[in-house]
Amino acid sequence: MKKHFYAIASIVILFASAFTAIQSMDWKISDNYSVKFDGGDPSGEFKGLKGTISFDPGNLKDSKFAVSIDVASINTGNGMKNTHAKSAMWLDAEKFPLISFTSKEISKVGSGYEAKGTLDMHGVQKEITLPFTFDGNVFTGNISVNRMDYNINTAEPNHGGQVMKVDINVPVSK
Amino acid sequence: MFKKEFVHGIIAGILASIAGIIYSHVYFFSNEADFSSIVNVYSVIGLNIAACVVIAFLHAASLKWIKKFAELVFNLALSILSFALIVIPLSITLPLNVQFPELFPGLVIPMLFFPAIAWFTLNPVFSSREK
Repeated sequence: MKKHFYAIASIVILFASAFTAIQSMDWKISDNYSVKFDGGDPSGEFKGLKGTISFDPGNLKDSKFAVSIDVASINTGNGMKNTHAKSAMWLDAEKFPLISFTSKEISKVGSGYEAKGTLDMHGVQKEITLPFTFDGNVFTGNISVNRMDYNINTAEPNHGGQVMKVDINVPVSK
Repeated sequence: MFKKEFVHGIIAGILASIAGIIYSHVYFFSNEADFSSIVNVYSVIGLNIAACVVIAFLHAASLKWIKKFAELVFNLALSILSFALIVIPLSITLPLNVQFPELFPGLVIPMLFFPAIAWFTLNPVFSSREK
């Protein structure tokens, strides 16, 4: 047994260090993140960002995002608009409490990255590409989302903006 | 003549400010909703005194220009105006760092009536002086 101790110890250390390397891809979302949307009227932000962010610029193959935001956390700065936005007519927060994004593939594009994946909103899943940068432990990305693609108040296409510009800024820490 | 209106307006403004400050503190302690970046002691005093001075101008103008039932027309107009102002806190968009915007109208709507209430409260004092 003593004879094999160093060999076994080496294998254990190798496995442990490999595990550490995998662990190090995981990032914790800091509290000062922002998910803002701008459709002219309405504009505002969401809170309640949760999920897992596994990202390593040197290992994009194993990098993955699985995040969600709480629909009920919407804040347009106006109480009536908030209530309206959460109602069944718009985002229907009771039936669809989360907006989630799960990446399938992350690739390097120019000076930034692209995450291809599924955006699940209002019960509709659509494949999207989210361009983003990762600099100084901060993920920054923006995307345009057309509410009509997600069956959000399709009865009133001209009520407020259709296309929402979403700006995402997520500082992370290990 | 406007001196009386002006004094009426200033005292009504002070009265409305005191009511507004007390109400905003009670509202804060009962709901824990902090709107102090928008509604604070300074803005309450400033807006109430300004509103009551405007009321004083309108009162003086109505007495001068309206021949019949001037007081009645003025009181009615002031009540309707105060009521119509409800639309402002309902439609205003607050900065996104202000939490619980749903509770903002509950703070501001009652306060919209304070200048008119203060004016009406003091009205007998200033009306009787004229007699």
